Amino acid sequence: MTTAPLLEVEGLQVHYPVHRGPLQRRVGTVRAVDGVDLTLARGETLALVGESGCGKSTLGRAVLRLEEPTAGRVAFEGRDLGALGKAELRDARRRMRMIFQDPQASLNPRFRVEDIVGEAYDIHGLSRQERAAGVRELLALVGLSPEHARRFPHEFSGGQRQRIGIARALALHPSFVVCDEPVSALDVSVQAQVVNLLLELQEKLGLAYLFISHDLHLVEFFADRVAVMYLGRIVETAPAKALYRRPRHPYTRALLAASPSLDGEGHHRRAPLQGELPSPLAPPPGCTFHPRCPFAVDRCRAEAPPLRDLGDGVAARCWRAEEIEATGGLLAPAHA
Amino acid sequence: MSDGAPVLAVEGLRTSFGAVRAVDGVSFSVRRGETLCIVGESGSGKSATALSIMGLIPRAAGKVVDGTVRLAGRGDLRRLDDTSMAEVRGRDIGMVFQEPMSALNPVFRIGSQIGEPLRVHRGLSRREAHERAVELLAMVGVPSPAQRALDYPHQLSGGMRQRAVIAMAIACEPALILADEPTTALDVTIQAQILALFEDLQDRLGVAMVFITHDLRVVAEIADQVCVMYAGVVVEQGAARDVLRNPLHPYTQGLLGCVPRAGAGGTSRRLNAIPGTVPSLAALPQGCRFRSRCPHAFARCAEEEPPLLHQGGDGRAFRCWLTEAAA
Ligand SMILES: Nc1ncnc2c1ncn2[C@@H]1O[C@H](COP(=O)(O)OP(=O)(O)O)[C@@H](O)[C@H]1O
Ligand SMILES: Nc1ncnc2c1ncn2[C@@H]1O[C@H](COP(=O)(O)OP(=O)(O)O)[C@@H](O)[C@H]1O
Ligand code: SF4
Ligand code: SF4
Ligand SMILES: [Mg+2]
Ligand SMILES: [Mg+2]
Repeated sequence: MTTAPLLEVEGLQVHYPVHRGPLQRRVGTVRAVDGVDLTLARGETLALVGESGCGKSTLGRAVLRLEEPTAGRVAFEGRDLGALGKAELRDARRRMRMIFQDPQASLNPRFRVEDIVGEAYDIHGLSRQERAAGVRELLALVGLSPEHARRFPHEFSGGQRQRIGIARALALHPSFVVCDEPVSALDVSVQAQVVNLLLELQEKLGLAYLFISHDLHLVEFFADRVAVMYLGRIVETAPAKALYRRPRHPYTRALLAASPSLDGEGHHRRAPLQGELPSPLAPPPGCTFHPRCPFAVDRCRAEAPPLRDLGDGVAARCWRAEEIEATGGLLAPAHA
Repeated sequence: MSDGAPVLAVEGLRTSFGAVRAVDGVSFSVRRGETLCIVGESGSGKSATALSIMGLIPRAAGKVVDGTVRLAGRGDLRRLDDTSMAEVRGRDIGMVFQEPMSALNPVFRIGSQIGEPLRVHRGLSRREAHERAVELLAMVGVPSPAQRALDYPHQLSGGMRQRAVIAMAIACEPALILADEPTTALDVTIQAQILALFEDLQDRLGVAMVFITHDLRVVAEIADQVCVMYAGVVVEQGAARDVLRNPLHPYTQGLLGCVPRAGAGGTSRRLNAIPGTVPSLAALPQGCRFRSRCPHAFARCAEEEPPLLHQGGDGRAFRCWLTEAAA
């Protein structure tokens, strides 16, 4: 075995051309993912958080090459995915799978569970017996029973459908699963069941997860490391414990402050973050967070900060991270 | 702050959709300046409760079959005719729903929609209503309100649309705001802004609020009182602080255990999930509705449905045989 990471992402970029008007002229570019670096070790969970539209799903798809990146490199299990031929890429895809937010939309309603879960086996040419045995094993693994195999998706509850989606993803023994908001559409009690299932499967099968979520408390419980995304870029990455105890980027601070919690400390009353996510068609110059940042100074408006290493596995894309922290975030707002 | 007679008092409310008893005996009251949260999983009857209060249960689908809905100064809303009820909806109760587009007409400008109730119920001229609409947009934190008033709904972001709906809801200075999952579709950052806005409006206008959510963390942030609903009934209610700190009903306890937090489950790293799923309202089990999922169920729970038991004089109540023994 090597000590190389399971997944290595470098400078990944997905830009979408935007066309408007009757002639569908190109009017600009959405920089959905704009130069992302990531690494993931075997069995590790990296969570991706940020407001909707910041590029989380696009990044997840591009990592799996379900979406062709406009630039950058993804290496999985030591192989550069961009350099692989069709057959090799298909082979790599057995080991990297995806679970979606909406189990309803991601399961073909006309297929029986056994065909949904067993589909991957067909593509990879297993015998009928092998397939039936495999489906049974997978259903048991996700807490469903063998008789569920003959049923159709509409006969199941939301939580059960998500279990079917998970079974499908696990068919060919992946080492890496992108979970795109896998419990966001589920009721609280069912959400907890599915979260527990994902943890159990990770322990049993040694899975690594890229876990996309907008629930910061869930991520704190679930992830080993967290990457915070803003307008297509990672603005902070840190071990989960460090991120919550000691957020370094003003955006991370704001997200944490805005998250309601059971302690009921009136988080929303801190009026943490003004304004909304700017249009990704016209990102602000300099630090893209500056229009909403209480600490922005002239330099922030002119120069884009790099993702700077702050030690202990923490990096943040902010010129003033140390200064802000030194004052406990109480630094006088720069433009008051 | 929360003294005096209730602004809204709901008593024994029952609403059926055919054989489905979606609301099966719900009672609560809310005072001036106070926030009451109704919390529960999907299908528990939260929206049906809200629609019943507003007289908005679609006639073809179902009806309110029992109970009273008393609004201060209006008496029992169930006795009002359609005209008076329309007036109550436009003037006395401001409504905010999860999806702001359900309250906005896509072909009219924002400002004219906010001004509409002022013209209908307050007799303002078109121009006065427009000026007031711009003030209201400013009040709910919409930047460049004069320009936004001229926009159509699709030109605004989700968060800004919800602010516009709130402006419309408070236009006639209602006594009550009824909000059904108003922040569920929004990012936490925008949710925090909207929750702060609601509280600010309450402080300034003294309005009472019924706020429906599925998120106990939102309850912890904003509620004075809480009703926990399960399969059509309130299983526990009382002061939010008491219910969240010392839940008496096994479902409330279970729901709190499901909320993710750092270090939950210790080294085993598991959430305390509630097993199973919410039962179908069309086929409720006999006895306690929570029985199939309850870790404490015993013989009596299968025989008889527990009534709402009151504890103390502070409105604390719960529906469980076990806690009757403990109380
Ligand atoms: N196929 C596409 N064509 C054009 N723009 C897209 C496409 N997919 C996503 N986008 C845009 O890219 C940005 C990031 O989207 P997405 O990755 O879905 O964000 P998130 O998952 O964080 O909510 C958004 O502005 C979105 O509108
Ligand atoms: N228009 C309708 N027609 C038929 N049944 C309905 C209708 N609206 C609600 N119901 C029934 O009432 C139950 C409660 O629904 P609802 O009040 O919307 O739940 P909640 O808002 O708590 O998710 C549903 O499970 C459904 O069976
Ligand atoms: S670089 Fe400046 S604007 Fe950007 S987050 Fe840091 S302080 Fe704020
Ligand atoms: S009445 Fe019985 S089944 Fe129902 S919540 Fe109480 S202990 Fe559980
Ligand atoms: Mg997404
Ligand atoms: Mg509802």
